[in-house]
Amino acid sequence: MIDNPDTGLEAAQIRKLRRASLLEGTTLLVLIGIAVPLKHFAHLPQAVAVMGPLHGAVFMLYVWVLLGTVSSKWSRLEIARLVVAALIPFGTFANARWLKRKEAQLAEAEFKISSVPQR
Amino acid sequence: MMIIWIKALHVAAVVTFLSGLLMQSLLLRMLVSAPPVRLPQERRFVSALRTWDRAVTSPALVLVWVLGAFLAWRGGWFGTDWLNLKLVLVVLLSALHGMQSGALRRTVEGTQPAPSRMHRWTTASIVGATVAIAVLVIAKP
Repeated sequence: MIDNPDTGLEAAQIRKLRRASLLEGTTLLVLIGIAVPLKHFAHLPQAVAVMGPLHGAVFMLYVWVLLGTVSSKWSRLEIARLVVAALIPFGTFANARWLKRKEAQLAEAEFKISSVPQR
Repeated sequence: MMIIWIKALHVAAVVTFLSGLLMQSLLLRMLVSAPPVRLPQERRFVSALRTWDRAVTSPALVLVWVLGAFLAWRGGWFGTDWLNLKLVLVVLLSALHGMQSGALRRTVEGTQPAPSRMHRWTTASIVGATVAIAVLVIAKP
């Protein structure tokens, strides 16, 4: 580790992960809450035909951002939480709140580092 | 006729993505056993590659997926063995891109001076996966 690590980049990456979480959670809810009922109760399969692949693509985007974010600094429980939440309705929304707290902690750490007078 | 153009664009995107992926892999391989990146010019070099990744490699990856999915749908290839195997390889390469991007970011921000030793093997893996994908697409065994 070097002195004064630039935590701003990590905070920006966590922000990307938080946004990807919200997007993934939204497409999952639209798929299972709207598209699937439309298919089975209203006999309209078109919504699933659109939302299915769209959610699939967004899920892969979420996994890609996740892989670019986590490192040895993250505990196995945190990583498991990020993976499992993507499979559960509302899971990624709960993670988004936790990620926002992590972002705030990094921002505070960045402020403290930049406040130290440089020789 | 349109399909030929889309196929050409897909191949161009694949070549662009793979070249960016290999650049990342080669740099990380060098950094595995090198002293921590601390000098401004060293961090500028890694930052320049990250900028290339954001501007060129990542958009190329999006094009690879979008155009590839369209070609597979139009060709009726979803469900075939060769495409299933190709998709596994493409998912792995895409995941590797995410991991390598993260490793380069941590190198620049200084939170992880030396990348993981696994980056010694990624270059050969990328070349191997590329050969396998080419065989699957052309020969369709």
